[in-house]
Amino acid sequence: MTQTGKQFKNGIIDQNPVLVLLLGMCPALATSSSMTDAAGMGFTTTAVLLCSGFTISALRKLIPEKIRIAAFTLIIAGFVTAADFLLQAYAPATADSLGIFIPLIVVNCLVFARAEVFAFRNGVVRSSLDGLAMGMGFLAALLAIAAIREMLSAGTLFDFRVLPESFPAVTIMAQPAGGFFAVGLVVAAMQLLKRKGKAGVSV
Amino acid sequence: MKDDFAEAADPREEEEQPAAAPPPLAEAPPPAESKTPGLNSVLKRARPVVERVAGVTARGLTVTGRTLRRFFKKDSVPNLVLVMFLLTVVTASCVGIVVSVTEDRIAEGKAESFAEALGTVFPGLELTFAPSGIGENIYEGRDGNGQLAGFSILVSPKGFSGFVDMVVGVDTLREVTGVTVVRHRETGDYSAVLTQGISEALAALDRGLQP
Repeated sequence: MTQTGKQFKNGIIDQNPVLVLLLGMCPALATSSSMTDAAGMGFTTTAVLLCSGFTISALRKLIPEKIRIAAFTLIIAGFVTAADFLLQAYAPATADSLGIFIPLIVVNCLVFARAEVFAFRNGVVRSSLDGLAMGMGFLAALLAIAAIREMLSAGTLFDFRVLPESFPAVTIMAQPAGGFFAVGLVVAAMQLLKRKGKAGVSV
Repeated sequence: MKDDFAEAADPREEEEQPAAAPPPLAEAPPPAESKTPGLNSVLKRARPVVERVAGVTARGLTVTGRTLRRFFKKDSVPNLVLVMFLLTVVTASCVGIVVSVTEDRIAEGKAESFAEALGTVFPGLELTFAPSGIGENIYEGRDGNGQLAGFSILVSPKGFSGFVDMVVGVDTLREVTGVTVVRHRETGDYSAVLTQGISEALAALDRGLQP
């Protein structure tokens, strides 16, 4: 597998932010009640990861170690603010439904962790790819959780009715408690997948 | 102190290198037949000048960089301050540019959705709304001919987790034309309760009873 392929596999499966690293759980729980929200949050976070990975990696030689945390916060906040305004202008419906969770991307542990662990120590191309891969993993995890929650609570996926009307709506899945249930299920499924992948290890 | 002397030695060594650079470039093969002989001769004469200027600029930047580095050493406080200052200036400028590019569009969108919200209580009518002089949250709706069709009133009663923003429509006969919830911060279940409550209240009004 090429280096790039390895990075994508890492971001989506081996070190999936939400399901393996358990980073960025707050937006994962909050915005996964519907698939459109989850997609919006996933794409926005991916954009921020990509841009901040690129910028922090480009500036890594110039930022002294002592103030790297402040510098990361500044750069990430800049990109999130720009993303917030761009969403409000060009996708107001998404901005409205995601609401306060867009500015909260600044304090998403995932963005910060990748900046500290990867972007600050690697080249520009690798860091951008890492941001993209982690973002894709985040998006995939969010969509998986949202699929369960939306299907059970409303019987729809992306607002298309999938289950018949007669199916009883499990409304708790649309609420925070249901979010935890769904996250727990998907994390467990991911762990199972990873262990089965390792030959000869009993679950 | 030793480091200062070592660094002072370098610029003199470095100065010799750019001087060695121009000759190899001057030996570059002349351009093959050019379709614009006039432009070609201008370029030929401009090249050594450009090289000289580039050489001087590069040297100037190196010396400046070195002197700056001497003062702003990697982990010294002046360097920390400088880096943070520059980062802040650049980040703020970029965000400022994004804001100025998008603010018109955002304002337009907000005005549009506001007008739409005011119009929801007059279904089927195309009205334009303007602030009326009566009260702060009361907007008068006029139809295509400028005729007053009614008023849209914004109200924000308290809900369980913040205010519930609603629009109440009253027509010129003092009849309530409708009530719509523009924004609420209740949890999912309660929106059904809200809608039901509103329709019950309106039905009671219709019957002439106190809602």
